[in-house]
Amino acid sequence: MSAAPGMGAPIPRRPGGWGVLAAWGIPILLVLWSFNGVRGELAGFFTAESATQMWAYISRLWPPDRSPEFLLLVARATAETFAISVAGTAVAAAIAALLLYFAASDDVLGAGGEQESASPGRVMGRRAAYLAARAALNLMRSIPELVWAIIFVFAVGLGPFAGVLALGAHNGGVIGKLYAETLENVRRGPVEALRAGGARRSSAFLYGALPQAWPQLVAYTFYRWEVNIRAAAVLGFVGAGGLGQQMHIALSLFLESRLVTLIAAVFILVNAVDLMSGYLRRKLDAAF
Amino acid sequence: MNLAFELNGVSKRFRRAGGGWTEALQGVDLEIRPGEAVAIIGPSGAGKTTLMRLLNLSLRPDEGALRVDGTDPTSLSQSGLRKLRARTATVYQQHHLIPALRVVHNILAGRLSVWSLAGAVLSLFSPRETALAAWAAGEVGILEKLWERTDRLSGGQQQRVAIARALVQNPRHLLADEPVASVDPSLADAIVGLLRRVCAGDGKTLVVNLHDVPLALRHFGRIVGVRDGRVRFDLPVEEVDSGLLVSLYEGDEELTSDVRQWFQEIFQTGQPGLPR
Amino acid sequence: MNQAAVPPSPGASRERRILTGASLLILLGSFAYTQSNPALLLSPEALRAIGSFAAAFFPPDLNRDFLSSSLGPVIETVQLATAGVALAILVGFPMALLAAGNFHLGGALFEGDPEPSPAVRRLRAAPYWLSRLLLNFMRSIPELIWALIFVRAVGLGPLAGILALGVAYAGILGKVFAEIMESADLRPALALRAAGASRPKVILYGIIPPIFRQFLSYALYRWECAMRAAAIMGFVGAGGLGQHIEIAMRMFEHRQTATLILELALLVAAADFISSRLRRKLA
Repeated sequence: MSAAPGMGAPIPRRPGGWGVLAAWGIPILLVLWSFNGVRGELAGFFTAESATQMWAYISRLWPPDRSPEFLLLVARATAETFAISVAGTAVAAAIAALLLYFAASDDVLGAGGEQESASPGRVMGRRAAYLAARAALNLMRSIPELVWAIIFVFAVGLGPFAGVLALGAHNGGVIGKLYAETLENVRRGPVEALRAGGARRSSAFLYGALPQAWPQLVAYTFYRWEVNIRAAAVLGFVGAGGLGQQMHIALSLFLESRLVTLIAAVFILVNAVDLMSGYLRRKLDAAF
Repeated sequence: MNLAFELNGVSKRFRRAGGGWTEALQGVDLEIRPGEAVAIIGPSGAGKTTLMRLLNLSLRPDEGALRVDGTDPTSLSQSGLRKLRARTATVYQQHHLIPALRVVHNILAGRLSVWSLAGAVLSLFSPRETALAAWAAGEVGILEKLWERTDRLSGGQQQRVAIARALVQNPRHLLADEPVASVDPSLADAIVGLLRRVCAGDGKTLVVNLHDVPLALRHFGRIVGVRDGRVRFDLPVEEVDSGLLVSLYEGDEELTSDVRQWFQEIFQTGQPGLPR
Repeated sequence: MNQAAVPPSPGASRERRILTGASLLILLGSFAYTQSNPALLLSPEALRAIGSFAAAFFPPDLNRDFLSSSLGPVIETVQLATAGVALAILVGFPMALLAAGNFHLGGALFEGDPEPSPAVRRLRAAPYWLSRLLLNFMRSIPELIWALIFVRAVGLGPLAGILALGVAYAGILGKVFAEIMESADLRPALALRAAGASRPKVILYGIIPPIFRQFLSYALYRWECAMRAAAIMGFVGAGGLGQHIEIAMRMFEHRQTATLILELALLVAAADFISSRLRRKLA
């Protein structure tokens, strides 16, 4: 007797079941719970009253302020924001590079460790210094840039310098963590080989470890610049100069027509920096 | 005159991943005079690389005494240790070059034991002593590649860069750990010959780990056989016979086919044929 | 050692030298323009100010009442971040479909089709360019500025933050999703096309399912970033921990500020942990 294909064979159970349900259910529940938390406001959002309020606000934004004196002010603020982002990123990279110095002197690179004539105490001391540096950087990056900006405005006064320091402090920690991780993934062989030939620790690090990590370090630093231009535009809100400060002033004085111009300036500036960063990154990536 | 390398009862062990210890070397006695040329042979895992890393002062013995040029390295300061290390150059099987750097920088890295840190930094932007690098590159036959990125070179060419780096260091002793293992077999003779020629010319001590037994027997006058962390024999090449070699390599899975072929030769003729 | 004929070094190309020089000029100019004066930072007043700040931060206020009162903002921050990213996906994903070049501009998915007239081609390309421009605009404006605008438009509170995050992150997610789709392996899609499926079906069944994991992974990463951003939005009145941090700082309650920052750090760390674990499972 010939059976039709497939007849009589038990249908295999569909895999997944509860696991898949949980995987989808949990995020969906989380999202629903989140929206529920603001449902009062959401409800208010969809009323006619709020619609007219929003329309009134939008109509105040237009037409944008295009007076020559203001445009000049915007141009200067734009240049200032640009400068803050560049200087801030540079300071952050310098702080992170300091961490590299600790990494170089510590045998985190492990090479030549066995034959060290340094006392175990000294070796431990170096390791402790490296770990302390990393801990300090972790602390620095936990504090948001805006908070740093408030601190530095308090310390060195209003103006772009506070912004530079704020970006430098926060990003020093961010970039530092990445530098450290990149370095720890470097191949140790070349470093050990150089030390076996009598090179000092710093030279062996410079020739053996740094070139391996260099492209990634450069790429990440430029990426960070792109993030920082956005942050620099905002820091001024607490007094650290640039377009942010102008926005704060405009809003405080109810000069909303200035807002559109300022936002347009931010838009142009951010795109310009993104383009520059991509271009420079490609061009400066060549070998030594 | 001091011995170049002197090991007395040296042992070295490493912690194993799952716990416990691996005895890489046990009770090794070895004396090498300055200017000698020695080949170390033995199956993989025998401890040859560990031995080399002890000789170039990357590792410290767990037991026994080690002296380089008559000096006990443990008695030295940091800078003294560096100076002692600078006397020995090592060529590694994996080259341990820096791929992203140009060949000239990899070669000049041999001078790091002499340069200051500032000098080393400057050289990366504008290479110093290019004439020296060019000489070394010429000696190993890669002069035209001097300004290329090192990772664009073939394996054999990179091995020669590693040798050039060792030459530039101007060492008294040259160690080579399997320098031709990842190299085209047709080039192996040329490279080992190059090492011998360079060292013989300057009176440098040469110690080479080789997996290819015929190659070792062809080029070296003294053969040290190592297996399971112990020195099995240490003889002039004329006294090395098939029995010793068989017992050294017995059970080694990785024998290359030509060595296998060579062993077959022994069993047929009863004696290793050795063109020198 | 004999003198070998040294082959000439290629040297840095002219272009590279110009770029390096220009970059250095910009770098130094930036420090000058921002009146960066290290002496100002290291002056006794400045150091004293920073020192008093640092001292005032320790020890963080661990008063039970305060801790329980700060729980609300923490929860609000989590809700802000989650709802914001959810909104961003809702808005960003459809835009990404429009912004993926391989769906509109021609290429492998269009092979075998009759060659369209220039007018039709321009029409087809319009949604691509428009959505790209819009996404660019949405993500070029920092989320805090969006928050500023929305606070003025819909009032103080987390709604402004959710909208701000939604818009800004829709821009980011949209771009990344589009890029993922553009670089997807087209073979399953091409097979479906060969079998006669319409282009939307081809996209839905052939392109999206294989790269779904990549989407999810990046969305999780953004969720973690959103946690940080959500906490800051409070500074301009958009709800979350930031609002309380700003108040505490204004009232010089540094110890409370420290506690709140600590909570923020823990929150971000937790989000980082969850996000990393999940992403590792997806990878």
